[in-house]
Amino acid sequence: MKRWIGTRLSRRELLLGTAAAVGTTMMTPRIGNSATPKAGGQLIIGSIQETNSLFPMFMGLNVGKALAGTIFDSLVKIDDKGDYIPCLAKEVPTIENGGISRDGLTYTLHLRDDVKWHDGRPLTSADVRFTYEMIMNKENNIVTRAGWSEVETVTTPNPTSVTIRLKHPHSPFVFFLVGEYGYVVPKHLLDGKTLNTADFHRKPVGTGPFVFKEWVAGDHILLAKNPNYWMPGRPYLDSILYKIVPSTQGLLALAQQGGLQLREAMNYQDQETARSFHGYDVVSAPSYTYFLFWLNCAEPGLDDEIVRHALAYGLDKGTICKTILKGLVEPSWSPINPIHWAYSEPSRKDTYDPRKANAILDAAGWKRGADGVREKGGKRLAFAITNIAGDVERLQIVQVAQRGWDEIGIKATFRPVDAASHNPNMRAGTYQLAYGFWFEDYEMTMAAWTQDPNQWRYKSDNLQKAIQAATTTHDRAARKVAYRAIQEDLAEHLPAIYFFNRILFDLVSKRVQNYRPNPNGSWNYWNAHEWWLA
Amino acid sequence: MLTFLLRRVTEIVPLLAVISIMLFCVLQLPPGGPETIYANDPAVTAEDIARIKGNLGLDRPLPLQYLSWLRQLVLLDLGTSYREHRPVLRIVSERIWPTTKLMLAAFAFAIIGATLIGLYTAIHPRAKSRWTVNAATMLGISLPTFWTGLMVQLVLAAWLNVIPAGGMYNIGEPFSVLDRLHHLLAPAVILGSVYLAAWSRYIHSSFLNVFQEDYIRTARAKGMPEPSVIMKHALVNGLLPIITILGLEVPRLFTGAMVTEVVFAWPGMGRLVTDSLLARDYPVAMGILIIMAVMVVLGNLVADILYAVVDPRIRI
Repeated sequence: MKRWIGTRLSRRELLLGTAAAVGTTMMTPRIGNSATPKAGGQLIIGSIQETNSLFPMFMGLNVGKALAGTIFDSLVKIDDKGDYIPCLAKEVPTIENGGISRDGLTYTLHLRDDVKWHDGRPLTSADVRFTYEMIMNKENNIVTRAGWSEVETVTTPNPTSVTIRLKHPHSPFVFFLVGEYGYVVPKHLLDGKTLNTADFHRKPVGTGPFVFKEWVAGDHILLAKNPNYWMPGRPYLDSILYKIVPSTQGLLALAQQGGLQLREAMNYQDQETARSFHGYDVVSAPSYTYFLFWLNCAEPGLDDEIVRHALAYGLDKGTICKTILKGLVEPSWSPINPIHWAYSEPSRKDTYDPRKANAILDAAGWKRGADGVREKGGKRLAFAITNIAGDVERLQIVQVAQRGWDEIGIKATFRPVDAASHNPNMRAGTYQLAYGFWFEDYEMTMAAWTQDPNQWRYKSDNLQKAIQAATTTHDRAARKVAYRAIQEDLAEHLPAIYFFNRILFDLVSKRVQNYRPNPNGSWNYWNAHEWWLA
Repeated sequence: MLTFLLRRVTEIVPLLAVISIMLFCVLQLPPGGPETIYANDPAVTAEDIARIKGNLGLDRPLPLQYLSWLRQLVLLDLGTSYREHRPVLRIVSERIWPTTKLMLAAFAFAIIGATLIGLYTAIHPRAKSRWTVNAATMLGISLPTFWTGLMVQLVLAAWLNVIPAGGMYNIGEPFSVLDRLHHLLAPAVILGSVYLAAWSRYIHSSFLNVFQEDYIRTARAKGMPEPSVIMKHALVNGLLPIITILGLEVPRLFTGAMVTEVVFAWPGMGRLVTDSLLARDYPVAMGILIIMAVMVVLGNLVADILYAVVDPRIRI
């Protein structure tokens, strides 16, 4: 039996590396900085999921949104350091450069004049306007109109200018010119077509660095270099092969055979195994995804803030992080990742303290019944934890939580559901407690909190005012004050127990150069035009 | 024969109608719906989900949704996938050949192996090797395919690199029969071994019974060589039970084997039906399940007809 001996990344190195990313760069770059990029070669990416479509506005999965970044360009991009960079727009609109009017209502974009669609036709402002109109057309099953629903008009004074007027100031709007919100699609190919069932879903045409070649359902997607890409000399790669392998074991086996060069977002057990693979590195990067316990604030018992704090005091996050999560993550207290400028450390952190949990519950009149479960005024503190079935790590975490809560007189039972019904339960409020992950977008629009009702059934005028303030002004200092207020409100009233920020582990062949993952996983291929193989 | 066929057809149509209603209702039972694929995105609002549901007709009463589906089915249209935004028939047609190829290879391996093993153990009921064979067949029946598949993948693919880790062929290389067979080998053998283990026991029992028959004793008494006794008289009769079993297994040629397809990344119908159920892609799920129902019914019909062909004593 062969034993592969390869690079290892110790936990200490991992945590220190991640800590270094905080306040500086988003991640430790994977760059062969001193080497001259070489053109040629095929990069094979292994994925456990297959996208449902390659039409960006109809995609439901992150795997599709990431892949779309190789076929399509967006108006603006965000790099791995969190900076906006121009793409189809010659410059990122700001108030300083006049791209955003002083009242925050008008955005002016000047498009590059050297961009061509993969069929050779030039990109113009008419394509941008068409894309907007297509998104807003109610008959199209577009996934979301986020950002574009804030728009009043889109006009095109000339073929390379676009003027967007908002209904009201919305400071995060530049974010919606990025990625899956900001991809542009070709008017000349789609105008007049029934978009819900167009061939474009399986045969997309973009302006990106790679041209779609082939999609064998359930097996692979093949992209070829765009020889007429507007960035001279790019992309370096000849092709990208996106191989669909629906099992983690299969992906690991394929890697051991040298059959892939990139595999993103491994689970924590797999990244341990993968560290021993010869010829590969395990690259870690922070992400805006976080794990949490949802607390349904409309549920009898959970509508009492004291009970919610008791749940937090009864949850031993530190031990769970050290054991089940193998010391790879640290407990968190906010939906905002510390690497993000909007983060403020909450002044209140309910750390593990079962004595305090018991004390506050006793003081609030929640007395233990004959079976040890606390009750008050006819309400019992007995809840079901909704959790996705089949995930061992999640089950172990919920089991530890259950035990901790049992000790403080709160009975928790399991309610396993399949992945497809987990988040719909949250949206519908048909849960009591739930465990899972969620994420915030780069501009921290706190979109889920502004929906009425929100998933947590939590009502707070202070929170809504703070979100309104954070998403109206362009003054970053003022926004930071507003985000502090948001985090303080959530920490004080605890509609959710934030657990940890997810760290993503990508398996990357040592041959791959310039791979720089983005904390927003759906933009991991933002610089695919600069990847090359040593 | 004609009367028999007409009678069966008149029975099949209402049967399939009842099956389709039951399938449609059962698919609606799990929580969530086709829009759940989008629910993980914080930017997706309740209005977005309501809009998508409305566009897909999911806000109509269930009987109306069923009748729409039935109207399309009568026109041999299985509808449009909610998830992939294209016709269900096209999606299914892409997956049928990989599945049929895998299942045919697995069945061929199983039939040949089971016949050899079943016949050998029936001819040599007291051989010491029979214990080894019995143990092997018990293991074949008992061990789950996901385990054997993963072990084979780990040892032969990951460690020894003698078989591909998965897939149907080496992408980007010229067509090669050897390459196709190389990729087909492991999943077909893993899948076929389960059938081989079970079928070898049926065949063993069947041959034991056949060897007790008067016509076998007569053939031997006439001095016919034993190989001729087996090939001319025993073989076809001994394989009769397998015809019934194969008839029932015909639907599997089109429905695939989910576990094996997942382990070896084989893009077949097994994965498709599982993915469509998990994604609540009702048109695809209904389309495949109805095809499966039709296959089962037709498979039984074919088995009945084949019995009459093989055994002249049977009249239909």
